[in-house]
Amino acid sequence: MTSASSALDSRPILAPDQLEHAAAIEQLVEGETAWDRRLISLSNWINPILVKETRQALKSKQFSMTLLLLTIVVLAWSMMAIIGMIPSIYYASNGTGLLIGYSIILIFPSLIIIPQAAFRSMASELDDGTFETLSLSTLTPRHILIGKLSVAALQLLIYFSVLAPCIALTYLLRGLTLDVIAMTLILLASCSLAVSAIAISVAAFARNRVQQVFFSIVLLGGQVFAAFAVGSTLLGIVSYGSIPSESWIVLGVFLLVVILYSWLLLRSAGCAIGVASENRSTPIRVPLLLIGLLMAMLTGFFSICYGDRTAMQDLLAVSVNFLFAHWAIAGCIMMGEQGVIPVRARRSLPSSLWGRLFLTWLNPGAGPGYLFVLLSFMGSAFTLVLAAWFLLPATKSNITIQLVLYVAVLSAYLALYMGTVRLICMVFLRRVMAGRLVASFTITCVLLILSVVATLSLSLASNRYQRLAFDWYCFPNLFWTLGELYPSNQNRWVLPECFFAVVCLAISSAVIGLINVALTAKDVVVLRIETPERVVRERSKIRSKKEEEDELEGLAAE
Amino acid sequence: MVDRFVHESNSPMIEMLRVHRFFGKTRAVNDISFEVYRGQVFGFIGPNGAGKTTSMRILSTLELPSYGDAVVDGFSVINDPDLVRRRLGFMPDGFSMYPNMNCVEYLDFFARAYGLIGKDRIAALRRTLSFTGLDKIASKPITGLSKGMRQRLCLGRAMIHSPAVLILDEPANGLDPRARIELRQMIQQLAVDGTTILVSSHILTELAEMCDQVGIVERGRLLATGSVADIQRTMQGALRVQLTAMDRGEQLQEWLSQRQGVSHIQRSGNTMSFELQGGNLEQADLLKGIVNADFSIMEFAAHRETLEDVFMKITTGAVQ
Repeated sequence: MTSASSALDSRPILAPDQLEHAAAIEQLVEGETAWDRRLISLSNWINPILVKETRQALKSKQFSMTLLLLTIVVLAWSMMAIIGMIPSIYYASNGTGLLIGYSIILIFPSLIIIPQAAFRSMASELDDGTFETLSLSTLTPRHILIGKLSVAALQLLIYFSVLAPCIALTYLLRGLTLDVIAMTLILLASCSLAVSAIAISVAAFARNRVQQVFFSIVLLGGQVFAAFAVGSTLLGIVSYGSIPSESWIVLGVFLLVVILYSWLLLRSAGCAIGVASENRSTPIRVPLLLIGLLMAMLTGFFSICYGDRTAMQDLLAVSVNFLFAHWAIAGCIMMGEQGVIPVRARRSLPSSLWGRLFLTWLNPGAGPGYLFVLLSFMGSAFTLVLAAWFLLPATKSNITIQLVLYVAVLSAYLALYMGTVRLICMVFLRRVMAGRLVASFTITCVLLILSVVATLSLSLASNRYQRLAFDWYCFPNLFWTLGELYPSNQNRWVLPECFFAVVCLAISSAVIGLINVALTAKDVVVLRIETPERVVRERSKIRSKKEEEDELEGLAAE
Repeated sequence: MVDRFVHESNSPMIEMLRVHRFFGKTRAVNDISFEVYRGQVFGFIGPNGAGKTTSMRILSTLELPSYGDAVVDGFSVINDPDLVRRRLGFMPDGFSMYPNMNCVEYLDFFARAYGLIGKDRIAALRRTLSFTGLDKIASKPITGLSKGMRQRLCLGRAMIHSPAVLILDEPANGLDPRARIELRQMIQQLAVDGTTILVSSHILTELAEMCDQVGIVERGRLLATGSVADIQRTMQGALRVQLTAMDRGEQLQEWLSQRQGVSHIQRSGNTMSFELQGGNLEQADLLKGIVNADFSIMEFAAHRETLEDVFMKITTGAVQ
């Protein structure tokens, strides 16, 4: 007997089911063919969540059923439409109607099914406790969220690929240009991904079953609204038949806004599910600042490029209002942050003179946050307005001092409301650890509602319940005052009630602002702590090991 | 083999430093401190709601302590949770699973999640499947697994990246005797390989067999800590002796009552039990005395209290 045959004889004899399991291991870890092995090697660079969820989706009934239903509906619509088009199909332009049908069919999986699946996927991770075991691995919250979003993108790609031949058919049936088809698909895909990003983030914010159910219902409502909005937009685009060049710019800006806010939302969600001792504030403030600056530049650019002389002031006022909304929402949430900076976060505080001078406002805490929001809004809005006022020629611009004053009024409101919310949080939420951000947002909403109700009641009472008239004491009512002082109402500024309202607003915001600045001093003097040497060594060891592994894996793949 | 990222020193692998955790007015963990050294198995014993799971979750960086700190291999769970997690494998008491996956896919996913790529991942998968015995059911869907197999899979997931520290929360809960013995053997093997293990369980006899040290907790407080023998010695001052004489039971009782160190004598016919102060030497001395006094002894057995007895003695059964 040869040594080879004796070796064969000494191998354990496996039962058929054991052979099956052994084969499953071989197939998964090694791959059967060279092509498998290449794919497995390639998958080392792919997000593990994407790999896992793709495997799950391929076995899930939800995905198979959706794909099957989509195929059936698309085939049915294609056949019905083509039969209806005969005999004009040979000479008339019939592509438009067919594409409208396909767009409507695609809206359902893109804007309803995929985002809901993303929501459920994230929510069930948190609900079933699998997120905890996942968070103990080397995957960061960013990896997890991006992985979930990539799964949504992959599903979208598969659904789109089902319709690819049908969409090619619409082009062959005449009546449509390639840019119409491209814009339809880009808009649909970007909206689907944006809604999925919102769904994943919302699921990450939900801390218990009640919140999950609540968010799920709100999300579904939002999805239905988005489906109608996107559907009507697509209907308009496809029916119009051609795309003006400006539309691409609008689409570009829309995509930019969608991408930036999705990024911000995912970052916030990542911080919400991340380690509690981590600096969770600065990673959100950086994109907030970038988005604010970019929005100021974009809105300014479009106002100046596309606005005529008479509309310039109104366009810039809208831009400034948009910036105000951006910073006000961020600010009122930020006011709930705790003043204590964890040791881990203190290790990454700026230590150089320039760093402390310019980056301290990015430090966690409501105090630095107050100054960060106020300075960011004032910096971007005043720069936008003053640049347009001084740099644009009189033939191009109708900007008046009222617009500059309007920005000052907005800044005063920001200082007043954020400052008040911060003081309330400092007094009443001192011992509260969880849910502070939601609480501060709620306090702001309550303050706004109270100010509106109180001023309206006061105005009615002082006019013997006959009419509503603006007076100086109505200044806490942000909406009413801003409406009265809107730059286009130039003559209102000189009225005594408006003048005194502005004076009262200035005084109250200055008082609240000064108190808050004084209270911020203790947050600003917090110094950086040196990272222990062993921790630094350990991190560099991990980094070098990872680089080495990447290099080896790259060589192996080649 | 995956780098265990462990520093070479004699400092403890796990340190709980005055850890407190409050949930509202409830003190789930109330000033717990202990140390576990490399390769040791530390058993965490306590009634339901004693604070075992919360302590383990703090060590696993899933909860932050309200006060105090926990250190794993020199890294704080508060300040460096990412470095702690690299050294740690955690098996929670509840099994969280993904639908539409089989065993090997599940482990493969966690191997990827721990950053294992290429040959390292393949090696880790093979090692884990073979160690846990899951290689025989690798392609079976997770949803169809028995409780014992799920526990094995859970253990496999916790050890896929060869962690230096394993935290196992009630790993034997709900397992049949065979699965329990197999799990105990796996834990002992891991400890022999140098893994530091913190394990909680209600089955005290099992913990007594496999743990180098135990800690008894109740209402968030650590009531006793040390090796099982140490705790028994500390908690029990005397040996319990059972003695059966051939005859003259009454005289023997009288003789015993005059001996120093003997107390609490209870007699039933010629059989009696009593407490004896001291250790083996005193025991031998007493036996020699009885024989020299011409008593015929049929049975002489001395025993210390079991871990179960000690546990019942220390804890009051109170819950928060």
